[in-house]
Amino acid sequence: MYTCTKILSPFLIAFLVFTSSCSENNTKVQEETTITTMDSTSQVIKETTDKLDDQTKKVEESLEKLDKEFESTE
Amino acid sequence: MKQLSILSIAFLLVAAVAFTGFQQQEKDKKNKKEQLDNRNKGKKNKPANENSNKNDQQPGKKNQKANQGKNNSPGNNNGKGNDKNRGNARMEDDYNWDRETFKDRNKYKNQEKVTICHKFNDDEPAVTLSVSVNALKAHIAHGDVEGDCPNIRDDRYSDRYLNERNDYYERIQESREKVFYSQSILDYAIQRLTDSRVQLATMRTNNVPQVEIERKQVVVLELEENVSLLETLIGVTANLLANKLQ
Repeated sequence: MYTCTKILSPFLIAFLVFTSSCSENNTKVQEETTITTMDSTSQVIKETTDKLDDQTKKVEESLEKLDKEFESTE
Repeated sequence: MKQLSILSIAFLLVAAVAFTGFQQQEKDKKNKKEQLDNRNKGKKNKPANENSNKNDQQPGKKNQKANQGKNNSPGNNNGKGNDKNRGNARMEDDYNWDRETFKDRNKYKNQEKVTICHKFNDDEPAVTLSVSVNALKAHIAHGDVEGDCPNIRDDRYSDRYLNERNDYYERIQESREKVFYSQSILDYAIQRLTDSRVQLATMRTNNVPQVEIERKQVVVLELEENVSLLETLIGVTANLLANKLQ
């Protein structure tokens, strides 16, 4: 039993260290990938929303012109 | 000797626990991936406005005139930015424009913000978001609660990841509100276009000078073009945001 334990112990420790470091690394890599995806998606959303904002302002301006133009006829 | 045996048994136990934990984690990841895949598949198969109907929180309040105008979308539009696309933009706020409120639109647009704790359908951690007062009702209906999320430490994620995630969802929420505002302006513009066309037709029958009619027509055409572009952009943005904050 003693010999067996003596032989097994280093392997057990190695296994333990290996599994814990493996799962930690995996999580980190996964997090980094998600962060990169979120960043790029965020950027695309920002650019599109800015364009939308500009176009909305243009429509608002056109509406103001329309209001002025048709005001006298109502 | 005895101590060593106990030590080795303890090691064995710890190793077994670690291994089970590791396996569980892998299983979770696999499940999460499957869920995402299914969701993406669903997104591809789902019509663009199906999701929006779920979030549609403003049926009766929207003015009927705007809806009428929507069906008479601006002149040579060729179906661009149709109702299907615009349906995605209908999310939470409720603007109801008329000439008076439109003049004061900045007052309505910059509504007071409230903090909510947005919960997700899966076991993902909730995020604290700042939303306009108008959007609060829809969030509460979704199961969110007013106020900051409870500060519970989730060891599955790093602080950096959680902060980035929060910023990401803040951005999505902000964009959603902008899309909704644009949609309301679009509805109002379509309604005004319909009215203007009727007015122009009346003017023609009433023998109003041609110069005056043409001048007004230029303004109407400009609005038509801008409305058409806005419809397209709303569709694009709404599709980008679809299924992003549920």
